[in-house]
Amino acid sequence: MDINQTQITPDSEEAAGIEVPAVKFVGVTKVFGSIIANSDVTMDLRRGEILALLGENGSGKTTLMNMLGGIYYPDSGHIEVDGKEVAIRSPRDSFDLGIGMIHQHFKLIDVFSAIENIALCSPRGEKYSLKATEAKVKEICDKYGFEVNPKQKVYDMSVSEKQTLEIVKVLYRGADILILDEPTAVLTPQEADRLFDVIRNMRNDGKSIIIITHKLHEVLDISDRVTILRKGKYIGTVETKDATELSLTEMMVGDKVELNIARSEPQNVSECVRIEHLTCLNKYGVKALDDVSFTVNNGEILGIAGIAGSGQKELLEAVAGLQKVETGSIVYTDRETGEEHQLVGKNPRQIRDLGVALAFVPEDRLGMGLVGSMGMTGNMLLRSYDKGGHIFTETKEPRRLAEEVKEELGVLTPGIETPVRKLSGGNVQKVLVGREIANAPKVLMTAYAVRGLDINTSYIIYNLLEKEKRQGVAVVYVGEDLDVLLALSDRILVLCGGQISGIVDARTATKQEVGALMTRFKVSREEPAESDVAEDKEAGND
Amino acid sequence: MTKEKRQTEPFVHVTRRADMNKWVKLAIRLGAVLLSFLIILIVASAITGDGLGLTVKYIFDGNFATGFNTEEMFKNVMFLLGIAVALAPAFKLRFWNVGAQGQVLFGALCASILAFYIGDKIPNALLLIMMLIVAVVGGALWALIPAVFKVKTGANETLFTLMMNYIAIQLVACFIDLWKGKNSALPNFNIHGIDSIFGLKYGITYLIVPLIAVIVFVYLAKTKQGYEIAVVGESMNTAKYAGINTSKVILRTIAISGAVCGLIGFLYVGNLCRLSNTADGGYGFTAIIVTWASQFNPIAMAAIAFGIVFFEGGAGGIVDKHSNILNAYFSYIIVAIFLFLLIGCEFFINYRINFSEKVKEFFKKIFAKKKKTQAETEEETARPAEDITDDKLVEELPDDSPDEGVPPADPPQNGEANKEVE
Repeated sequence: MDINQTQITPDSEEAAGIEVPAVKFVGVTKVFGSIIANSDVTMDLRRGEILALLGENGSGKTTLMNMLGGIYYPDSGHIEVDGKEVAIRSPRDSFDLGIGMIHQHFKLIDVFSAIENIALCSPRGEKYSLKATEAKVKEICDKYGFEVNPKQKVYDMSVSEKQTLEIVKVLYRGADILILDEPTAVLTPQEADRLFDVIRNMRNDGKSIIIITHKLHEVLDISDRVTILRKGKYIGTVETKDATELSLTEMMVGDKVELNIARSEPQNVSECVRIEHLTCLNKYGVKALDDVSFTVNNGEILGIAGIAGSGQKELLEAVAGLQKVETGSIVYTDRETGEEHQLVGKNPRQIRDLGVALAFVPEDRLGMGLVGSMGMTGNMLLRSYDKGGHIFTETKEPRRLAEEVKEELGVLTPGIETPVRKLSGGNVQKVLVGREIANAPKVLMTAYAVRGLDINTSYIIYNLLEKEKRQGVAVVYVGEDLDVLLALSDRILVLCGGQISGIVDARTATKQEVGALMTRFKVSREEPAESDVAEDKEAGND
Repeated sequence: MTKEKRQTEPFVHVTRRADMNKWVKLAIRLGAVLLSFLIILIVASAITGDGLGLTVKYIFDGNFATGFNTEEMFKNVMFLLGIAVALAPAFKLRFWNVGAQGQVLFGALCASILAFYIGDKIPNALLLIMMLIVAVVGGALWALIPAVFKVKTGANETLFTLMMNYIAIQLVACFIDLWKGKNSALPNFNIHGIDSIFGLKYGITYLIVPLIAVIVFVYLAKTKQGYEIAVVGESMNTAKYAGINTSKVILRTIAISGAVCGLIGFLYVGNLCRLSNTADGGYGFTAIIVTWASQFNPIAMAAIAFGIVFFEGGAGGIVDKHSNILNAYFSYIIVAIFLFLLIGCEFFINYRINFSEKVKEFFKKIFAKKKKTQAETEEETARPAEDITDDKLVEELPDDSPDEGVPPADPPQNGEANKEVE
């Protein structure tokens, strides 16, 4: 890899010493409700460099870039482009400044061909001419080494082709500054390599590129400099040539923060759920879980760490009976009766009918765990509405339960019949967790239980989980904050690309250790430019 | 960074409201109905040149002048209400069944086949019961066709149910053609039909439709199956999470929806002893609006059904007196005005309109000029319900009524409605 940073483009009129950065964030802060997405971030992007923006999930990378892309507007601070302070109020302003953003979710029109999609973005005032567009696109493709079939419809394209089209689109609009939001997340390793080649070509042509990623090997492979964000704050910028995986991991995860969670020693630990050789496909038919084996124990909190999309969702849903299992087994052992039940191939109701007291707090609270248009009472009914032999729903018990949850967890709601959709995120979560715990579960699985919650509500949730553990419940806590995982869990299982990259003792493990397991698994045994998602290709490599 | 922010505040901007008091909501809706009546009167009078009073008289004549008119009117209300009730479970499931017309017609066709071929061979009571059964089953099956495709292949139910209407219409036309033989008139069946009770020709219908309405609403609101419908309608994932068999719920609910449509088809054939491919009275589509606008409230549903039929009849009354300049399409205009206001007022229920300080000051100035003598205290104790309605009028027609009441930019409920909705 070439590390020619501080490269000044030939046409730049600046003298080498007083280089004006292409983009400069000055004290930028962005707040969403009670969540601080970016706090006083000051960083810059030099001309003709590839800057990697590194950080964990929720560290504010995308939010920061969205302010450059005109999607958000900073609450305070400002952005400079080419040394001039600018106000980017809309994506249009962003385009006019020569900034092009390639989002994770492509903004293409399916039924249009490649060239039509590009022509749609013609600069203001330009005549609509597919022919002229095509000529210009061909020029761009030849220059940087893209392959675009202008007549191909977007719905016929592979993910990689769509991405290429997105990049060509922003180049066509005359972008000098490109932002790529996790571009390799959807690519196979070979496609990622090709992408990196064109990114280098663009850099050599004087374009400035920001690439958002949390894959360390990619950072080391492609970037000139790395800027690290953590929990919305700017941590630092280093020259890639001076960085190592370890040093980057340390900056990314930070020092250990002591949390005030009263973790008890596990009592009467026994096996509760045994998962063996579990393999599941995601909705695209790609392996989301690959031969995963572990146990969940009674009286213990098992933390699950991993970059988002490493198979956490599929794992929990497979246990809950919501995810189709390709191969493998999930055996539940009742801690009182000793009865064993195979959960694979059963739907949630069948699992419940077996007497398996399984509580599940899914990641998508209103889309899966709750019914947004119903009040607390209606939602309390969700897990138990079919109890009793008659055709009418029983509302007395759920109403009592709703009052109880409201009282005990301090749910702020105008009334228990107010649609839960209208409550704030924290209160929605309290309703969901409250209901799941109310059923006296023996297994309690939570996915990102404190995402978007303020500190106090988060602690309410931690304490509830801890309390359940002390009552002998087998708790699974999927989380993204390593400090919390280390402070709350007894063991931490780390997922990486659908495989278990390690199970560590949360009392002795360090953040760096877990952070490395989250990202390094593949790199340690494969080529550097390997991508996480590409299980199918990986099989070919082995 | 304030200097880079937008320099001028827009004159008006619209924000979502938090929950509104239900009485205020009711007042707004009633206000909309009254306003629509007023506009209808003005429009009709302007076209015909009659005085407002005369127009009112014609509108009532159209509905109540003769016993026949009144009977027809209430029959129509019942048919419209019946179809709207049939759609309610489907809509609660977010299954956009726009095929009520087809389901009614197919139910009616099934009943007619029995009436035509064995109508004179078996006792009348038995025949009617058999007709009822086949109509209900027929309607359910007709509705199940798109539902099965929806469940199995994910076919778009809106297009599918819509297309099924045209098949049903042509199928009925085909049978009518077959049956009428050499006569050009619609075929009348040689059966006795449903008896009148209480001296009312459609007495049975008046009993059955409200009864079905009550049953359907209890079903939706109070039963486990109704709960399942609400959950599936809200989110498939939540339903699966709760262990609900979503396919089963969809098929069952749509069958119920179609069955009620079939029942309406039976009532048509049973009452009128004939078949026509307008057996749904054109209400298959109108009912969609009735169901939606009522938001599954049975009383509102009946009221809206009444409103539509009333204005239709009223338009008929006006057309009768002015057949030289008006034709049947006039009723569409009248009903459209009613529906426009009825649905349009939902905007003011869901959103609040915020005027900028400049506009507020402007209104205040005008207000101060015109009502110098009136004390401010009076408006502070003003009646919330009517105020909202007044405001709505003002907001809608800002030019002609600044002096009508309180300043428009300052509706009551202010503090409450500003709550943040997440």
